[in-house]
Amino acid sequence: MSSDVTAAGTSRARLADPRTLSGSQKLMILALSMTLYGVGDIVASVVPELQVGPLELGVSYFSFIAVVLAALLSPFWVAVGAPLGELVFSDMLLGDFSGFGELEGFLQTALAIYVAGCLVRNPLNRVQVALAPVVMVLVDKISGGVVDIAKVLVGIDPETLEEADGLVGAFLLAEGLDIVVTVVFSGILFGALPALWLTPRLYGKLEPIMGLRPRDPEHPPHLSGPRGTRFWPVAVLALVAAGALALLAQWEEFVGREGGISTIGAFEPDYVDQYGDVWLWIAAGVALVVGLVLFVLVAALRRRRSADTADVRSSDDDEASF
Amino acid sequence: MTIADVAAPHGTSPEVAPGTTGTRHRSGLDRVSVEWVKLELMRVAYATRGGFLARRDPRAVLGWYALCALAPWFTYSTPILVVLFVLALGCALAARIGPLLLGLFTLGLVGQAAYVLVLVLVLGGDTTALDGLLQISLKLGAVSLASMAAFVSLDPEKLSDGLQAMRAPAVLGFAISYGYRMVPLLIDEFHDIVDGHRLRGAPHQGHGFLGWRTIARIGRIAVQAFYPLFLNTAQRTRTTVEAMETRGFTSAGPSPAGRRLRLAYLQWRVGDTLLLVVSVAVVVAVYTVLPTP
Amino acid sequence: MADDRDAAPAVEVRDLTFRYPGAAQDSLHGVDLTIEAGDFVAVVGGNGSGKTTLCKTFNGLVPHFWNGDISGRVKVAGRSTARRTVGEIAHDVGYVFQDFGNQLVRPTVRDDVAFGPLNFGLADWEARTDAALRALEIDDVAGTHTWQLSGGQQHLTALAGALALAPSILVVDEPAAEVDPRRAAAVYEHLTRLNEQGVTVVVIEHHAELIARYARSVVLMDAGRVRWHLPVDEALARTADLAEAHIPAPQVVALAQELVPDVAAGRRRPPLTIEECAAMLRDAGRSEQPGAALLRAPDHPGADGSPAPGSTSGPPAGSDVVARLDGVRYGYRTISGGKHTVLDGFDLTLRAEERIALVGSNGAGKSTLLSLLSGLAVPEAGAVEVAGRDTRSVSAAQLSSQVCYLLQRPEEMFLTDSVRADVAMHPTGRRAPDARELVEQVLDRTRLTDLADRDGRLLSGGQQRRATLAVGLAMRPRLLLLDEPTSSLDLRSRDDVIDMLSALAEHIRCTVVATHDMHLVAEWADRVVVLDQGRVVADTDPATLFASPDVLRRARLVPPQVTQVGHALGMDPLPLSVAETTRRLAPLPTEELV
Repeated sequence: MSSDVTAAGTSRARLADPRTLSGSQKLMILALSMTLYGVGDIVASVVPELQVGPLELGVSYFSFIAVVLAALLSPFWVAVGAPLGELVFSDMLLGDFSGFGELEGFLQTALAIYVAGCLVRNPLNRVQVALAPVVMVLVDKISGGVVDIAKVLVGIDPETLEEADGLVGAFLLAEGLDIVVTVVFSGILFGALPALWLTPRLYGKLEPIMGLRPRDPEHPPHLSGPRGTRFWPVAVLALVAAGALALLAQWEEFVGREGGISTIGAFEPDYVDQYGDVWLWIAAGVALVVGLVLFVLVAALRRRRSADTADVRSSDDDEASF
Repeated sequence: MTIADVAAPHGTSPEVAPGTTGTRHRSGLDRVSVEWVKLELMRVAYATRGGFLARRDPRAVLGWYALCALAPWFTYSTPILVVLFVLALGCALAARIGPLLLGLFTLGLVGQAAYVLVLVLVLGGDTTALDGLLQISLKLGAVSLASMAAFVSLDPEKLSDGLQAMRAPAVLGFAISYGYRMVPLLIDEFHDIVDGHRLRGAPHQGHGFLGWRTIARIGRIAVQAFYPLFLNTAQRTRTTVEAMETRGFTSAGPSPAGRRLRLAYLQWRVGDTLLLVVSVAVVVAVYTVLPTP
Repeated sequence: MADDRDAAPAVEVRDLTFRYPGAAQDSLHGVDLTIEAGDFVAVVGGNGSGKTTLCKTFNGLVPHFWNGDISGRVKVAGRSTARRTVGEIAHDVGYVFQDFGNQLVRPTVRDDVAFGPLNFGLADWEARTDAALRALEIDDVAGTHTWQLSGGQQHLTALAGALALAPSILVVDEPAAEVDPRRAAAVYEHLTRLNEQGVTVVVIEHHAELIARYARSVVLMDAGRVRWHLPVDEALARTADLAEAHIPAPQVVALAQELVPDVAAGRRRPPLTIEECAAMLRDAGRSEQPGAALLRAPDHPGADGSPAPGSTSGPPAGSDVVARLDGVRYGYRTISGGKHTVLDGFDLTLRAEERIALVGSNGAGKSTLLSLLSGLAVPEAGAVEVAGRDTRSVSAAQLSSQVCYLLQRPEEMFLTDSVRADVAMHPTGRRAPDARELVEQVLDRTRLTDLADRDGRLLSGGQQRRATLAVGLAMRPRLLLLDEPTSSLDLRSRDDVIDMLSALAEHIRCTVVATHDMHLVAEWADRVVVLDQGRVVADTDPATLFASPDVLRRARLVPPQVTQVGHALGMDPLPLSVAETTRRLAPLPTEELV
């Protein structure tokens, strides 16, 4: 925009296209979303909760922080930064670190934030801003729920499953209630409402501090995979990866639920015995594959980046003008 | 930042409350809780209390953690799990984990057990369910204890160096050390801002039905406090990233040579091998000696 | 440093124009500047004149980090920055930011200093780190966590981190902004030593006194252009230009211009140091006339014949007492689990109509005292009584109608998105019936009406302080507590804040300011409480304090230049302001000077 108003006769150059982020800007967005979401997570765990039976009527995370950031800045880097903050700040610092299991949560939250952030084309559009946190919570919870339900369906012998209608029903009910409560508390009370209040206040104020241009409603970010690949296949891959990791990490949760709900009458420890080890190995295998894929991706990105930065030096570089 | 800023006021001591007159006594508890949590976080992060894992190579500690995290999952024998749990508890105590972590851990475990127990009672459970419950609690407990022992013994720098030595992305390493550096500052700032709201905002107007007024007030302040925090943190982050750029750290991380130099101090010693060998031996021994169902 | 580059100027800027992304105007416009190798340059200019932007072009942050619109050329150590990365240029240019605290990214001092050399993969990183630590004499704190350091030590750590890459040029943005005068001098001594070893030093500086003492040349920036680049004595003689850029002349220069006709007429170079100034005044035959002490400014109650107020044992004068600390003990729990007692058996009485300055080095207990008085903290033992109420019996929120505590960092005081809303927060929250008028009145009094709808964070430093003062005023407190209200301000803004504090006296019964700023103490306070390690080592008026060398040394205080000149001339009592000195040293109308 301002390049159009250059003084006549002077040549102006812009070293980088303003719409693509420089490495340091990415790092800045990452660091900002990481710290803010991390602090938000610590604060969220301090806000009092009401426990009604098994349901916790409380805020599980401050979705508004991630959504506001993703609506104003690059959704992709916020989506990487925010769950990293959760992992480092609250999980690791508070000692609630579940090792491998963190990766599953990381992927789910990242996906949710990315989708929600891309939804906001214009940060001043109240509908989009209000919808984004709800979508974020839904994507996060539903992808988590799908993974959980898949585990139950696959993990239990079909014969037992038939005997245990109640089990799946109870399970679905629990997941459903959990989603409703989370949408109300984390998606609306600590999501949509604060986001509606904060986004317009920060729009155009936060970005210049970091040397960025405010989001242009004419050119919103689009859902896309890394390096211009299509989004949905990548998202599904991420979900599968999350599921595989979940199988490894949330094994105990699954068995734990069985322990609780089994009293309805269908629990047979033998099946766990029988399938337990198999599952573990399948999960480990999938995790290995995912790890390899990630490794290849990272390596490719690195090569690409070094190709970007390597440029030919010439003697007149020392005299170059902008 | 001075030392005073990251330290907590000593206002909880019992001699404060009794013996003074007035309609209402403030012991400073309202402030202490946040300060205490912050201090404890800092201790977890920096002041490693020593312990048997603290001197080990971070890669060895991560390996040890992986072993301990996986070990309980290959059995359904309650005796084996009990032994593994006790061993993990021993390791956690030997690694000197702090009272906050131990407290949170116990609370979590007790809470979960209580909830499931209630479910079992309400639904009319049988003993197999209780057995399953015990098993899962033991597994969960053993893994959490092992992870606490491992991550309490690794200060953020060692952890990020260990991860980098194992080829994790440089940004992860940066995130960890930056996170640990920023948390106390930001919690301080958040605290100051919330204090500002308390002092300058509308006064408290009673608790309301089921304390909803209080909850709403806390919630509103918690959200509003993020407005200044967003902008102030953006300013901090900007300087930090600018400064890192001038000191050779870009989003691509340090140069390969830099990485080698940084990690050169990591030395795999006999003790590290010994730690892993002994741990494997103990796990194998537990599995072979004790009966499986 | 390569031999062929020795001959090249350290920095060469040609026709440089730069505009930040999305900004409405150029931050730099047609800048031409040459800085010779080995120079010690002070860059001065008002807020928004482009000082910092210019300095960021030296190390490539502009335009490689801030990619706005740019044209022109910048050559550093003989090589253009256009096609080099910030990391490459870092070997030539070290940079220390104004908010240096955020520049430290590693946990301990040694780690942080080694961060650069390690990232660049320099095999001799250990030697470089040790050398940098030794050069700045912080090797004794090498193992300390950076958040445990004082502000001055943090600054030196940031400096060492830049030095570890052995740059030939060092840029330091406002080294004296957030540290007490003695520490600022220490930083400058280090910079001077580096400069003598061949490093080109560029500082952004507001304090003409420091420029006069340490710099060799001065660059004046104005509205994105270099107005001139002159040797330091010529530069300081252009007082009108400097005053326009909000750099009032050092007190020694101002004194000489008032009292030495040759200097006033421009025939003679103004003095740059206390000694020069004193000698010049002596040469000009200026010495205190008998009876001239009576001409002291009447606005310093401690000196107008009344007894110095507020010795701790003084009789508590009933209703005059605004706040009282009685046998207070207060401590912090430290990270190692121990306890650090800051105050023990501490007594202090604050009375109405007092302007109290709380001084002392970092960690002396100033901030603790303020938070005890505000009711945010309560004592472990003893009692704090504010406006007749024990702080333990009321909540800090209830107390906030009586006491107002303004934090050191203004951005933490701005809780909303406009100055007006921040000012209105307390009165409307408490449902004051006259809230609306009060807010407008306060905004008017602090000259903020035009800026009232902007976010406080986006204002200049001086405006930010005025806005926090407005917040305090709207709370209508009996006791106003301020933590470092003049830190990181240019001198014009600082004088502005001091004037405003003086003007507010009629609205507030008692004001307490914790500060390092001796100008504030000299020109505003009528009572100074000097703290050292949690004890009151002096409780007196400013003139008496500045005449007590033991106390000054112990609390690391440096009196204002004018007071030091007065001391050198043997004036008694010591003068506190230029105006007062001029009056007292001026020839009495009836006498003829020889």
